[in-house]
Parts: sequence; C-alpha cells; structure tokens
Amino acid sequence: MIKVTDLKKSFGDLEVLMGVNLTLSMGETVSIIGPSGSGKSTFIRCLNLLEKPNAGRIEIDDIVIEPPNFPAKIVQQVRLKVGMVFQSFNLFPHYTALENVAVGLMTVKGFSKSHARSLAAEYLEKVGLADKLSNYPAHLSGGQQQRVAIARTLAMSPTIILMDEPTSALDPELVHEVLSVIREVVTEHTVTSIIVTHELNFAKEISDRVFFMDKGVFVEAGPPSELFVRPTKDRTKAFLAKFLPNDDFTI
Amino acid sequence: MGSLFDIEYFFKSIPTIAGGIPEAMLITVIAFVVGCAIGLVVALLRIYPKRGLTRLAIIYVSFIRGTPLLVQIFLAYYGVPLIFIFFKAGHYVSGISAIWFIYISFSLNVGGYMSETIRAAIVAIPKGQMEAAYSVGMTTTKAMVKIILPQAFYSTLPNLGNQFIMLLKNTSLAFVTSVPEIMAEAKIIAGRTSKFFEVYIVAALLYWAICLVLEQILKRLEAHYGLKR
Repeated sequence: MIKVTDLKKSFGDLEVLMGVNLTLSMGETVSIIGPSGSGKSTFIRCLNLLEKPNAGRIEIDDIVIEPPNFPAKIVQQVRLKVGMVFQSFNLFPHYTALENVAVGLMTVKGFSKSHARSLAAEYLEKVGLADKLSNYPAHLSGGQQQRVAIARTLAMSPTIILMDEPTSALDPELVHEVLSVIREVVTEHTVTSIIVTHELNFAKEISDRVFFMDKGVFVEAGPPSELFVRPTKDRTKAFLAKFLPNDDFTI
Repeated sequence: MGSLFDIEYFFKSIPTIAGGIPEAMLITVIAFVVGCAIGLVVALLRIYPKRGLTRLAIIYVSFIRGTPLLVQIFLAYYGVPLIFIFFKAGHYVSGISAIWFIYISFSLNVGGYMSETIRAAIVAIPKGQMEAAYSVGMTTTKAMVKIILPQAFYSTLPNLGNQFIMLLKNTSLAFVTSVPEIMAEAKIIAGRTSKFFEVYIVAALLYWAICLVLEQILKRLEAHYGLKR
C-alpha cells in the first residue's frame, strides 16, 4: 500500500509539487501522464527519496516518511522496497549485463557470488537476454539496455516499481520490445507499478488507473476507460486532444 | 686538453648511477600509493563536506599546489624533527633515515595534486550512476566503492599515469637529503671526476628509459580497461 498525502517539493523558488495526493493498493498498475515539467518525474523520484520532498507525508506499507526528517535507516528500507527504472537506463558501464543485475544482490542482499549470478541469469532470461549475459552495456542496444535495467530492478524483488519514462530515450523501433517486457511485469500483478509515460496507448492498455498531472498536482484520475474517453477537466481534455487527436472523447 | 665527451667514462658510470633506480622506484611507488589514499580522502571531504575537516583539506591542497616541492622537502626534513623534539622524543630523530622525510614530503605532495584529479574524476561520473546504485538499495559508501570509484579510476587512468611519471622524475629532487637515488648517485661521482656532462647524460637517459617503459605499461592498462566502456 502506498499513501501519499499533500506532498510538496520545490527546487529553490520553483515549486514543482504543490500538494500531491495518491493512494494505491498492492498489485495495482498506474500510469502518470501529463505535460513536460508538470512534476511527474519529480513525484516518483520522491517516492524512493532520490528527491527529498519538503512537506507532506509518504506511507509505504508500514514505513512512514515525514519531511524534513529522512533517517538513513528509513531511506534504506524504502529503497529496498521500491525499485526504479530510469529514462536513460543508468546501467553500470564497467559491469557486464550479468554483473549489473548481480551486483545489488551481492552488495545489498549479501548473496554469494554464485547464487547472485545464477539468479541474475534467470532474470535476464526473463527479459529475453539469455544470450547477452557477458555483454557490456556499450555493446547493447538501447532496448536491450533498458531490459537489463528492468531485470536489475526485478532481481531485488521490490514490492513497488517506479518507471520514469522507460521508453522515452529509445529509438522508435526499440520501444516495442521494452513495452512488451513491462507489460509482462505488470500483468503478473506481484508488484505495484507506477509508470510515468508519454505512451498513452500503452498506458491505456495496461493501467488499472491513469493519473493526469499538471502544474504539480493530479488534476484528474480514473480507469483508462473513463479518463481517456470522458475526461471531465478542461486541462485533461486539452492535453489528450494534443496526443490523441483521432480519439473521440467529446460527449 | 682531453676529448669533449669521455665516452668510456660515460659507459663506466652507468652501473653506479643505475644503482639509484631501486631507490627512485621505491620513493615513486610509496608516494604514489600513500598519495592516492590521501587524495581520495581529501577528494571525498570536498564532495561530502565535513565542516572543519573540509576547510583543512582546502588549505592543504592550496599549500601543496602553491609551494615548490623542493621547499616542501626541506620543510619535512627540518620540520619533522622539530615535531619529535616538541613531543620530547628528540633522541629518536637521529635514528630516522632521511628517506622517511622524503616519503612524507612526496606522499603529501602527491596527495595534494591527486585529490584534485580524483575529485574531478568522481564529479564527472553521471548523476544517474549514483541514483541507480541508490535505487537498488546501496548505501553511499557501497555505491562509491562498487560503482563510482571504479568508473572514476578507469576514466582518470591517463591522468594517474601522468602523475606517476611526473613523480618518478621529481624523485631527482630527493638528492638534497642525500637519499641515494639516481640523481644523488650521479652527483656524487660527478663531483669526484668533474665529468659532469657524461654523468648527467646517463642520468637523463635512465629517467627517459624508465618513463618509456612506464608509458608502455600505461598504454596496455588503458587498452585493457578501455575495452569495457
């Protein structure tokens, strides 16, 4: 369970999040959509404390985070529960695909080298990269790199996975392979997934709920069948009109 | 009047002067290793500030970069004994070999320069690397050791090599404390025979030869680690 109450974050004078509220239940898959600079990325980065929110409250299962206090122990607990997939993959360039997945298992979970490596190989197989174990990131395509990154995240067995525009940095022809891996992950429903994305059709297909964010708040949320078809707020309508010009959502 | 260049003496003096190579290498390796350790600590203090310690680190780097190595050697040579005397341990000083003052001054010197090299290398690693390490649950220390420092090391390898070569050549200054390295050996026999040019040409060629070997080793190291990225 995730419960976010009145979360606020600013960078200097720039207020990015102006009181965000959200409640998710276990196993739910939600997408966050909205214009650039609306605070989507900042919001999910607050959830694993890569950004420290200024005010509000985050509850993740039994862990409570209340700014401005972020005890190292709590931060650690949060990050063990919450995994993240980044827009620019952020694989470790000095490690092979296998080592990228195994390094967290060894250093964080304390698994033995052989155990970590065999587990890592399993996860890489799951994302369709069984033949790329010993490749360095520089020798993988963008789509393959992102799949390694997803395997790295899954291997830590988080209960929540955050995805920050996981396909935005990919060549169009590689988007598909990453989306199908994500689809597989979220449909298993063993994790709660929060996906920031501009792939509206994908969001529509896989999300239990879609949140529309603008100017640092959630303007509107609902199942895709409602939000995409019958948005109630003008800002949502204007945004969707730009992205889905062919979809008829007017009543 | 004899010949301008006594080629026979030139060859004859090689073994004696080359006898200083082990000492020169020892100073280089010790100062490099200790200097790297100091440099790393200082670099981390500047990246993760710890109030007073960071200020101290800044002053240290500024002093090392702002004063000549030769002066630093003399300061260690005459200053360290004063510290012993201050702590009422003056009677130990005479038992300390001059080489220790060289190790100390060279290590501190390398540490000062190295801290800036290491800091630059760490800061140049993309922010996403640390974030990715955090996102799999690593602490800052673990992320530094497993993710950031190895990458910083690979990327700054050419700089480290440069510093190593500079350091090797700087060991020639150690002769002022009569540590028997290459330059000291050369000076001793030159003083005896007044064949200065022959002797210093030998010294120059020895330094050059060692540096050529080091350059080759570095090239291999870079090629080896460069492949991964």
